[in-house]
Formats: sequence, structure tokens, C-alpha cells
Amino acid sequence: MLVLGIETACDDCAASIVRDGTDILSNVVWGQKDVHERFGGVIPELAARRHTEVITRVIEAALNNAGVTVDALDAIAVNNQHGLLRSVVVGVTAAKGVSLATRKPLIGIHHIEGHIYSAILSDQSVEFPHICLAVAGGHNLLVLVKSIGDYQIIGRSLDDAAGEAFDKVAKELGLGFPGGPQIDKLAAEGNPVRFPLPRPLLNKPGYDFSFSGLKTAIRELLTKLGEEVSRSQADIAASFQRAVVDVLVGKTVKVASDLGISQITVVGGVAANSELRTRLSTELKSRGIRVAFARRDLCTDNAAMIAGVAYHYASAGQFSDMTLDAYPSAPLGQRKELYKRQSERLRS
Amino acid sequence: MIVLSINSASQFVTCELSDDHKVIVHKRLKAQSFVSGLPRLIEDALTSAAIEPTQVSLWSAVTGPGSWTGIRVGTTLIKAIGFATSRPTVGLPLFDLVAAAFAPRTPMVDVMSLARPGLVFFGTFDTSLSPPKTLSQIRLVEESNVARVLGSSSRTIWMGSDSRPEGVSPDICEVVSSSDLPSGWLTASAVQYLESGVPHEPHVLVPEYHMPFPAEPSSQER
Repeated sequence: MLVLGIETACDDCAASIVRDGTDILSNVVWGQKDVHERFGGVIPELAARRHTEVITRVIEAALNNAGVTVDALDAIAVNNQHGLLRSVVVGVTAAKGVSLATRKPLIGIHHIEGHIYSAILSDQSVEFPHICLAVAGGHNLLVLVKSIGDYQIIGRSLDDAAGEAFDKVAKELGLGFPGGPQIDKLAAEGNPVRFPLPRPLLNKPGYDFSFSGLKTAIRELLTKLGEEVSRSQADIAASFQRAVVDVLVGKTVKVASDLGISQITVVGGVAANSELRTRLSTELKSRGIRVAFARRDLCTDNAAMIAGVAYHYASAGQFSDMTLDAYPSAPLGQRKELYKRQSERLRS
Repeated sequence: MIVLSINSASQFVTCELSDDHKVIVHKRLKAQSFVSGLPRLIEDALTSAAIEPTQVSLWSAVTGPGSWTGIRVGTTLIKAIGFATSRPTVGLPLFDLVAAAFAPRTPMVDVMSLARPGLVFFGTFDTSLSPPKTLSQIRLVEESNVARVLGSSSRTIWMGSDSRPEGVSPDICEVVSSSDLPSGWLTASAVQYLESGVPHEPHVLVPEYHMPFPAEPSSQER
């Protein structure tokens, strides 16, 4: 079964062709760094404009790279449930256009469900149930994944997501956008214990996260250091990264131990962070817990994860129709409830 | 030649399907949501005429000015359909259509609409030519300056709402709605534009007349 996936949650315009849920035939991502870099963050209106300009070119590239035509597709899948609304609208509309034109079924997918599935796309030996640490710029979750479509959120960020904190601290340090890879690179040259920083909620009960206090601590540190900041950038980056990683690793290890889960997956943009990958691997392996990371090219937003997970819904005959709407956020794993509410709203 | 055109510049969305210049379906609805409403409108139009998407020879969409979301959804939908059916797509500039429809054979027509509070899109057209010609690039004008920039035009059209700009007398300014374009106007204009040689590759169909950044809605949190 060939599924075309479309993903436009934020500033990446992506399309992919995946066969039978795991075989990635193409995975095209049109980034917008050139558009947003000067602002130090993503401007939603400009992101949506660029998506509108390039969306059909990206779909065409995905089809060409896969060596298939639209007629060969079995379904069209799109992220319709998480992201910048104006951007999500473009992806959903394009998916509907292709679906309407070809009479191929349409499937709406939750962006975070796609990310969770990116670990399975990367490592097909991942089994259920497992705990997924989904850590990116827009979300920070610990999810108990019982099966495809059956998710239980165990922990979440109460304020900023870890990826957002990475971006904002990078901006404070003048490192450019996106901030995660810049901090990761700079931290490798710094002393991670030079500046004592808080590890928010690490030793508190529960599995929730909070990174806004850490961000504030960095801002106060920069003020205190004054002109010395430029000479201490690597140490600041390393200390900040260590604090974030300590919290992510600590909470993940705790939830796995408490629930007796023997497998962890790690997905999302921050899953590409070198220190997080090394530390989690070491900590979990020493406890006999298996860890699977999303492939680096599947950590950031991509459409292969959307097409991949959609295969399972298509196989079960669970399709959407032209009433499919776009949402900036929606509860994870509540497809049926969401569509029921939508149908009721349209009927009224 | 079967042509399908949409106008999503306002909440009153129009879909027009014609076959050899004869309108066979003309549907209009008040869209609660462009994303869910517009595709269903097109699907309904095709179904009611028993026409398959692949039978349509030309797709077109209004490119603005108008509702930001409406125009974005309309152009994205039509370019995706045009791409998937390998058919040409044509963008329909709304002011040109309005000038030609409501002030035909007129050498100087000023058309305006509200871009955002205090700011107006403004353009001047010559509809005595075929196809009608844009005499000035559509530009943004402060609402308080509109009366000053009105030229020695034969007609002035205010599009969208009845609250005309300050200083513009109802005696010289006609109020029209884009959704009141005559039946057949969208599809006939699409054919005319295609025949005039405008680019018609689906990839190039995009909204026009954006508000320059950063004078646009502020950023929203994810």
C-alpha cells in the first residue's frame, strides 16, 4: 500500500511516499530557514505563505523521488491536528485537493502521533507497550504507547518545551536559528559543570516537565556575566544542555522503572541532541531497558512519519472525508471523538 | 471545455462549473470553515453535474485581495487539484474581475477594499480594453488618504462592506460585493486569462496582494 504523507506543522514543508507503513520511498523536506532566520524564530504568517508557494512542488518531488504517480497512491495522509494553524491549514487543504482530484481516501493524523511512529519507522523491532519521550520545540511528552492509536500521556511540559528552551537560549547567546543544533555543537567544547543551574521538577513526584525557570536562570546568568558572556558561551551552552538532559533522562528513567516498562523510544527534534542520545543510552542500558531513537533525519518534522502511521489506519479502513478540519492542537489518540464532535458541529 | 472556478475572497464562497461557456452549476455558501467548506463545495458541484475531476479542463481561483484564509485555502486547493489532475490553473485577480463586471467599457475605474482597519487596497483599471488593463499596480493606501488619491476616474467601486473610506461620498462610490459577480463571470474570466497567455502551471498559483510584513497579524504561539 502506497501512502502520500503531507506535513506542514511549522516551518518545514514536507511530503513523503511510504510503502506498507515502513518502507520510505521518498522523504522531501523544504525548510524555511532563509525566511525566519532574521527574526530568530518562526513567523506563522510567513511560514504559511511559503507553504502555499511550495506545497505542490514538494509533493511533486516526493512522487518523482519515489518513482510513482498520483494514480499509484492508495491514500493521502496529512497532519491536521497539531502545529501553527495557518501552516496546518495549507497542508490539509493540499491533501484534500489531491484526494479530491484522484478520488483516493484521505486520512487525518495527529502530528505527535507521527513523531511517536518515527521511532518505529527507524527501528521496526520496537514493541508495544513502550514509553515514548517526545521532545521537540512545540511539545515535551512522556507517552505510554500501548499500540498504534492507543496512547496515554504520562507526563508533559507545564510551560516551555525543551526544544523551545534550546531555541530561546540560543537566541539569547546570539547563536542563530534553529538553536538546538547550535547549542549541541557549542556545548561539546564547554564545561557542563561550570555554572550551577536548576533541574526543574527533577526530584519532585510525577513525570511532568518545566523549562521556563531554567530559561530565566540563563537570562539572569547572562546579565550577571555581562561582557564575560562572549568568553563563556561554550560553558553556558554546556551547562544549560546538561541541565536539560539531566531532567529528561531522570524523568524518563523514573517512569520506566515505576511502570516496569522495558522499552523506551525517543523522538522529536531534541532527540537528535548528542548528549541526550549518549546519556539515555547509557542510563537505560545499565538498567536493562532497551532504547530506540528516531533516525536523525526523522527527528525533525517530516512527512514519512505521517504516511507511515496512516498506513495502519488505512489498513483498518479508518478514513477521513472532505469535512476534515485543521486544528492547532488536539488530544492525542482521540481520533474518533474528534471526528464525532466535528460531524456534530457540521450537522448543527 | 469544462471549467471550474472558485471565489473564496469573502465568507460567501462561490463555486462555478461551466461547460463550453454555459454555466451548469453555480453554488454559493457561507463558509463556517474554509478548510472544510470549500472542498465540499467543489465536490458537491462536481457530483451534481456528474463530472469527474479529470474531465475538468481548467481550474481557477480568485487570488485576492480578500479574506487571507479564504484566498490561501482557495488557491492551495485549486493548485493541488490542478497538479493532481495535470490540468492548467489560472489565478483570478479580484479587482480586475470586479472592475470589468461592474463598470464595463470604462476607461478609468478605481477599485478599493479594506485591507485592515485604516488601510485600503487601491487600484485603477481600464475596462474599455479586452482583456481589461490594470493602469496602476494595486497598492495600499491609508484610509484617510483615499479621497486624495481618487483620480479623475469615471467610476469608483468600494468592495466588501458599506462603510466607505472617510471623505468618499456615496455619490461617486458604488458599493459591491465580490460574491455578487454575475453568474458565469468567474469561468468566462478564467478562459479569457488562459487564452491571453498568463502562466497556468499549478505550481505558480499563489495568493496575491499580501499585507507587507510586519504590518500584519502578530505571531501566534504554537
